[in-house]
Amino acid sequence: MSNFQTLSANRCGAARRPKAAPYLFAAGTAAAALAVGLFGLGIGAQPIPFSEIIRVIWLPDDSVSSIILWELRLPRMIIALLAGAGLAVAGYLLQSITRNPLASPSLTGVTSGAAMFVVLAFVCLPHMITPFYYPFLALLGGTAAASITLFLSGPGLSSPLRLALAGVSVSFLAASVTTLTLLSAGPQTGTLLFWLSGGLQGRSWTQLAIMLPWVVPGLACVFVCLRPLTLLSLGDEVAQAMGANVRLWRTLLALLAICLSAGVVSVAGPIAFVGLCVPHMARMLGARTTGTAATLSLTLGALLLVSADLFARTLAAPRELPIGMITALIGGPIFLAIIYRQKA
Amino acid sequence: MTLTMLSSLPETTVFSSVTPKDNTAISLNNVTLGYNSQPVVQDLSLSLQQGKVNILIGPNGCGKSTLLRAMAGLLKPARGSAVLQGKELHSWQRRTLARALSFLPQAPEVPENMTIGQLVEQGRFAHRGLISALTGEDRDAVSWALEQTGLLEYRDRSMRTVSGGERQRAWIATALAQQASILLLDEPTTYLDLGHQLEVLELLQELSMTQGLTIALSLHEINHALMFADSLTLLAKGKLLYSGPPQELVTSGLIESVFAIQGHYLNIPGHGPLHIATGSQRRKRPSPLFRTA
Repeated sequence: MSNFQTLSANRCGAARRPKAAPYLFAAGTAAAALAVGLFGLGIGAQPIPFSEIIRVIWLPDDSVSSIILWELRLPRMIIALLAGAGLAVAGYLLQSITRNPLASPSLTGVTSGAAMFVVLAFVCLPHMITPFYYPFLALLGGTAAASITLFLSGPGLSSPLRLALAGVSVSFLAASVTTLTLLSAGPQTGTLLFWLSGGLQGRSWTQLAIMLPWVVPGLACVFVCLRPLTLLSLGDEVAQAMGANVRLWRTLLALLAICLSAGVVSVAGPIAFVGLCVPHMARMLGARTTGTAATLSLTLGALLLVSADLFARTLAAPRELPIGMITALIGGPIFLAIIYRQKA
Repeated sequence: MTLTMLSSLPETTVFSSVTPKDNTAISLNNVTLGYNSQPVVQDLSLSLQQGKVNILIGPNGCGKSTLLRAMAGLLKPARGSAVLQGKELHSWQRRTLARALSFLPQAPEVPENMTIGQLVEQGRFAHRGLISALTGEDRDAVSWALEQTGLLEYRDRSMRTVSGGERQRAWIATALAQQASILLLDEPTTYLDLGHQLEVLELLQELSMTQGLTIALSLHEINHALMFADSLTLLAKGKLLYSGPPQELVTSGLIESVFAIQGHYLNIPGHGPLHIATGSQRRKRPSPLFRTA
């Protein structure tokens, strides 16, 4: 086994690959994400030429282009970038701390649990719940669902498929409770269904303000916690012997992942596959250390979601496609490839 | 070279040892250890001698790993106490404990594409803040650990591509970078060929002699234990049968009975006794080596 690894690693030249490559990829994908975002700003029912975009971003005025840009497309683009980065890094965290390639916000039930709590609160306490409470509710629901999933998938670090099975069951359970709640909901059903279908349509500065305090500090925290995350990747006993309180760090990092997902889900609704696939794509691009993998996940996630959002609003214009469909279209095959590789 | 044959002695009484309290690094006092309330080790007392090489031997499942995990503070005794510097191990903070003792589990996972240098830097975790860069002190400790293990030139090699012996030395270097005075290793020679096994053991012996490190490790190879131990501990079925200098264990005949083997000791002048297993007791096969004798 180890002999084989040695041989194959030599053949690919993995041993001597320069350290900078993943960071170059990260810079590249970050630039690409920004480029796609800027390009998307000009596209829509009212096309805006590039020079106009630059001009009104620099000096907003009362023109139609300026209003469209500042009220609709720019906040939506920022939300797409942040949501993609948040979901991808949350997925990366969950995969690292469970050392399970199938862990992700959607496959551990975090997103469905979060959605269920938001819908329940919205229907049961319609007058008290404003969208600013969504992230807190989502955090509660996500934590509850993740705890049940981890409990069901067995003690310690369980097999990937067992975790996926438990996660899918918890997701379905949460989804059915959500549907039941919606049945008994009154006039709010429309709003909730719109949110539940997932996507960035109509999201603007208000939604960005809801999401920002969760996603940006969350992402910053991840980069502060890279060292314990690296130790966890060496195995529990080694990490403990080197001075990391494994149980504490694992709980903290899981909560961090749930916070990130909660911030995103509260605004964009459940979006599947980003958290699952992006960390694998980062690894395929050569990210090996915790730092490079987290950075590359962040930039790739932003790129993926900003592109998916662009497709979602332009492919069938003037109608919008659900963004989850686009991410599933990209993520589904990768997911299948992971399962296929697990079997082999 | 003349070989002198020592006769193998019949199984005799259980040796108990009393070690003086002042030179003990970690002491286990009447500990009962186990997983999920199934005791693996019962009512056992053992002290690690400070600045010495302490070696644990015993058949499979005798509790060597369990004992080492308890000494590393990874397993809380169900009964009894595991004490380091007058304080029970489980009440130490992990971070402070990691500066006092380092533990290397048996066959740790190979880190995905980490270089040896990067791995050894992880050993500084307990000395560093979360985001601060390596200080001069950290860098010195890493270089010292690499130098001690002869890995300075291998610093930028990937853990995936180095040999098993180098990989094991890299793990030892990681433990050394912690700059703890106690080093616990669970079967550090498993999966290594004979040359690499001896290399690792000689390194550990040298570290205890030159740096005054307290070292405790478990081994399967009896001769290596006899060669390198200052203090040898024999375990069977979770009980301590002997703890003391290796020479006395040789004359006790305990090894034969515990491992259920037939064996002889050879004395090489200028060298300790060597044990030669000639067959298992369970199958009672006549020894081909000594058939004509």
